[in-house]
Amino acid sequence: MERNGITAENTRRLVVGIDTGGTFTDVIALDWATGRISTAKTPSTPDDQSIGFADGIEAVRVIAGTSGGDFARVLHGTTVETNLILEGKGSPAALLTTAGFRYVLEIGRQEVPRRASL
Amino acid sequence: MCDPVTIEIIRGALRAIQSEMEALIERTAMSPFIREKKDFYAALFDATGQLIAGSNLPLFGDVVGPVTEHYPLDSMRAGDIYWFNDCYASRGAVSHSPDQVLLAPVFADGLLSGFAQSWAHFNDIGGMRPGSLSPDCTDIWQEGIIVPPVRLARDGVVDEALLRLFVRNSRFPTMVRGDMRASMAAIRLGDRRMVELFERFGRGTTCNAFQQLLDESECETRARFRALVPEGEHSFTERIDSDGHGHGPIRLRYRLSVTAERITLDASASDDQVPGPINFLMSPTVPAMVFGAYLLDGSKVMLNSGAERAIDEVILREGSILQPRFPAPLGMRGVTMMRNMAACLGLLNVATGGRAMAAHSAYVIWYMRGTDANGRLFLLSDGLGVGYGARPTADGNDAVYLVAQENFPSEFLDSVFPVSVRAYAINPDTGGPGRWRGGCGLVREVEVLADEAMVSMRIDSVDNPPWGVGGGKAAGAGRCVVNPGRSGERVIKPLSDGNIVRRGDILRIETGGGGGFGHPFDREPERVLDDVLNGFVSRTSAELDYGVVLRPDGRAVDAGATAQQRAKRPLAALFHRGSYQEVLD
Repeated sequence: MERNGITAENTRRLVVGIDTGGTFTDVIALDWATGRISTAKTPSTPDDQSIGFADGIEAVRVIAGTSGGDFARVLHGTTVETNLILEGKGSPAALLTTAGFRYVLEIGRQEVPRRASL
Repeated sequence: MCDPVTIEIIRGALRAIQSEMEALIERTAMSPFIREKKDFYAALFDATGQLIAGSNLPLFGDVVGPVTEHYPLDSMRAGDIYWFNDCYASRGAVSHSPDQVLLAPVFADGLLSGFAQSWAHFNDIGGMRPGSLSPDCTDIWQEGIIVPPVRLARDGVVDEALLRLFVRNSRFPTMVRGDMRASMAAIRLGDRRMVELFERFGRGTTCNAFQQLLDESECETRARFRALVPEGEHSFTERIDSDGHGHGPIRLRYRLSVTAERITLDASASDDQVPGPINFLMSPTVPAMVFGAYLLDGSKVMLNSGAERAIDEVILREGSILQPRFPAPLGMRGVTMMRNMAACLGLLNVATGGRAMAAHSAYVIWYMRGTDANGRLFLLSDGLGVGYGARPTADGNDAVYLVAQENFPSEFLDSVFPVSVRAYAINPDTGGPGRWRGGCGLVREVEVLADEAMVSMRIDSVDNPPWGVGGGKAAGAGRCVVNPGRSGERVIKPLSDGNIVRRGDILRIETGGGGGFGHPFDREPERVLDDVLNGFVSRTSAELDYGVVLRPDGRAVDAGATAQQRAKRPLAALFHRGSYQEVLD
């Protein structure tokens, strides 16, 4: 029986979720075999986010008491871009478009979300 | 009795079922009208036909009732599908013929326990012109095939003969067949998911949850209505420009009576039905759904049949624009539906001294038909966004259509139809000036690449632009021009059909905006500057309407000149349309 990519024959049994935030990197690992959940929190490393990512993965591996070979899948999410936009810290950007289409971002699909009110 | 925790799970499950059904329609339908424009909805009902979870579009009525007149509840079986588009037979549950309603009864423990419904606008079901809807229509026979409530499937077996008959009546049979299959698949899915819901929580508990979700909606709508609207008589009159056949303006006259015991809306003084197709066969539940949609903003409470009960009585007059007699044409009823929404908002403003939102334009839709380079019939049906009314706490929405509906992307238009989109932009100065600015309409400019084509146009609120409120001013209006600024420039009538365009013609459609809220002299000069820099407001309007003067380079506010200008503050009134008026007629 397949369950999120884990098969009975598959010995790799750890699913890891990792979220790179502005300050901290949060990691959670689920062991399908035992149902045990392990969590870890490590500092994010804005100069090179891959360092904080690797630190987080290593931290949760130690807490879960497994080897790297047990990892079945890693799901990575981050709020780095969202923070960049919210804090206005990105590089100056420009929209290049043909004449007549200056408002393409404002108009989008001209919709009101399906569950919105009037 | 369903406990509060389980109710929340069922509430979420119902929304999930509805969304899953809608995603299925979107991904499997064939016509651009459904696939791209997304003119479809899904809904779920209890065993008595009460709407539990549906769209936030205040348009529908009793969907199950018309079916039971032909097929009693005790004759229904699992795997059945019922279908209709008959506006008059359904008393406005469907309000123009292209909308196909499909309904599947849902069974649990061998008992009828609910219904799953799909609703979608089909791009062509026959009738006078490709697209079935035309401003030229003068009776409903010209608006395509009429399907009374029929049984499309029995015990899971689809009546192919019925389907073949319907498909044969369309100019685009492949798309219609595909859209029917998408709609059927959606309610089959809804049926299955509802059965799972009943199995998981038990029939009794789930039915009780439905009851509580209805009661909650009624109580919340009623409470919010009472908190906003004082006891007394409140009247409002709204205008529709024209029926496209020389009649207008047409007035909706509403009187809201609120006593300690009763809330009554009397719309019987509205004008008579008209020969053109803007008649709106309105289900009496619609105004309550408008109030509900407005009042339940920001609440988890679902807009369902409970909200309909919050208004005790709605009085309509047979033979009026809101209750036309068969076989009056209904195809362009969207215009009147949108003015009904504005009239309800107008009532709330009168009742509260201007604390609701300002009026919006009716969304614009235009059709272009002809033959393409391969000699095949093409049908372009392009819905265009408009500006919505400014709110007590925010600007109105710029360039949106209506709940959930989307545009045809320019790339799609260019690649599928014989047109080239030259501009798709904000229409400046159409947002009504105010402390909060009304939303702006937009501009769509296309070059015609077919040898010859026929255009139908639907723009309303041109002669009677959407009103502003609480000192806010009216919106700017829309229009359609062929070859603007070139030889052969001509204006296309706002509600008209039979307009011939030829290869190389430029068609420029400008849509109207929403009214403003609050006095424009109270808007922060920086916001006005922003609007000028971004092309939403002109410098002239900034000076005249907002009293904001910019420095010569136009990049900053001239504070001294602005103070001087704003010292000459015009005296406002509750409403504005053309001029400030305490009462609109």
